Amino acid sequence: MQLKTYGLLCLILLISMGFYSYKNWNEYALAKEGVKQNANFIEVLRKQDTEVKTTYESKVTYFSQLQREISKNLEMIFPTKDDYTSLTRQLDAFEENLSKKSDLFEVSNIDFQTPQVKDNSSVLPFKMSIRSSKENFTKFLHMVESSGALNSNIRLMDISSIKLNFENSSEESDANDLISFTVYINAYFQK
Amino acid sequence: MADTNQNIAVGQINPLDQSSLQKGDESNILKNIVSNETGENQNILEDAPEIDQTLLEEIEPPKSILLLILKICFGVFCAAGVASLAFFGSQLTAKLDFITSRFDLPNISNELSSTNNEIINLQTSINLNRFLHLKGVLDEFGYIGDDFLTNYEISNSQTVSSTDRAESKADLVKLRAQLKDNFLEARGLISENIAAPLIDINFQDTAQLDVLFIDKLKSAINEKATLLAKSTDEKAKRDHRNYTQILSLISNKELKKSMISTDLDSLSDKELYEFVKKLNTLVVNDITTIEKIKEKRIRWSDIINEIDLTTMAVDSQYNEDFYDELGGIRYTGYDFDTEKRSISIVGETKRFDTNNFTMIANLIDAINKSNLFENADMRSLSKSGSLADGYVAIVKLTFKLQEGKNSAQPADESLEIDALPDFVNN
Repeated sequence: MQLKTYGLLCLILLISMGFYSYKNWNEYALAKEGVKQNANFIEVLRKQDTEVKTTYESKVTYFSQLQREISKNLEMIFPTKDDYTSLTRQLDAFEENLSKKSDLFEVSNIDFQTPQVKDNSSVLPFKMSIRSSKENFTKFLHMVESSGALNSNIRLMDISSIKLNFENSSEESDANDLISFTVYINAYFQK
Repeated sequence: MADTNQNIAVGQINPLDQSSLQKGDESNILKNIVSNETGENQNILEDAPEIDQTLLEEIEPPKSILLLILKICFGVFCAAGVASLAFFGSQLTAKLDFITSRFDLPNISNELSSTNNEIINLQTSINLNRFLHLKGVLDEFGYIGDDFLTNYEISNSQTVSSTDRAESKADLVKLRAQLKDNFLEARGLISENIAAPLIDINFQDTAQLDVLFIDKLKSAINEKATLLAKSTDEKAKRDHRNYTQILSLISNKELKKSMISTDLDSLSDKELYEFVKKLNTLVVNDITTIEKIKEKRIRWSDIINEIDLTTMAVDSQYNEDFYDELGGIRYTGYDFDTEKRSISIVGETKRFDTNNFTMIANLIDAINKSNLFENADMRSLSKSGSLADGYVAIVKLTFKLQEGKNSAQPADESLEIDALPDFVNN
């Protein structure tokens, strides 16, 4: 009777201990193998980390210079405030550059309006009244259309509307190309 | 009668007693026989053999040894069970840490967790430097890309001089080479895996791993950004802006997909122009804000040129100063509205026959057939004059720019603008 009881207890203990140990041994073996693999992988990552850091650090000076250059250009084309005085000087310089006796470009009026805030930027709307030859009118359009190029240093602008009148050519043949136009422009600056 | 009584008495004896009585009689008989034959009180059989107890000892013990073995086994199993519990408890759980830590015993589970943490930290450090690098490269790409966009627009404009166009075309070649180097570097950086494999049952799924490493990287960047948030130093401000802009690059699947799936060499200039514009919408940096504004701009010089070309299709002498002598179309004013995308043109047609209205109708059809315009309309027509002096009809047309058409980009790159007639090239 005692023999059977002990036999049975031993069997139960053996099975339960065997199952528990087997199950946990697998987990233990996996964990041990994992630690070994991780140790190797950590070595690889350490090398990679050093390489990536070295590569980045070798370029960080160049990136900083580039960012300074971009920031400087942005300050001109997309300033932090409306900076209408700089814009006025820029427009005046453009007029001076284009205006010739044979090829007219006269800005008779610039009227800056109240700045407005938009989604990602602020806008300084202004109106210009200009009398110009057709060729200079096209150059003026090109100037506004290509404004805001990082290398151009011309304030970022776009045309909101243009009202244009061709001057009557019946009396003066030279006046044939003359255009009087009122242009509404948005000059952008940072929000 | 006495026999009868005796028989009765005999008959009344218990059969078992009777048998014992008989046996007693028989033993007495045997006793007598033995005593008569030997007469010397000798035993016929020898003495009964003595039992060897040592033999019994040999027979009985096997039963107790088995029991003993079982008892020993039971004890061993119990001890082994406790040892197993203690061992696995100390290795796979933290329940016995108070003992293992006291004796400085290793815990394999803790070791695995510790090495996993080290992997996470190292990979996060790699990711941080990689994304800082990527940000720098994409800034450069945006800078060169801005130049490429400007030059592409000039080189394809029908209203700039042929000299400017030629210069821009030459620049495009150089810029394309720079963009390619830059693009390949950025693609190499962005295509690297953000996650490292971990031996952890909770992170067997790649998506879960990605989320873990993205979160770790974002935390690392936020930590660095927070340190610089209140600084007034220019460099610190720039670095802070960099860190916040990098956050938008992380997990930007669309950007990654676009860069990996694009073969820059196979792109035409027009496709590269579109690709640069697309990247500007996917990346957030200082340049992309202004690119988004530029993207919405209408090139009114192209629009005016398109109106001229469309008018020339109806009046071959348009813009050639023959209006008074030969008649034709002459505009006196334009009105362009960017917000409404509307165009109004005012002018007149002069004919020395009576077909002014046909000319206006042709002009309306030509404008509606243009790739840039739609909804040209003029339903009230009137003219005055005479056959001798010519008839004049007022033109007052209103139409719209087609959606998404802000400039007159050539649909086919094989179309060489320089090969167009002189009147188109000014």
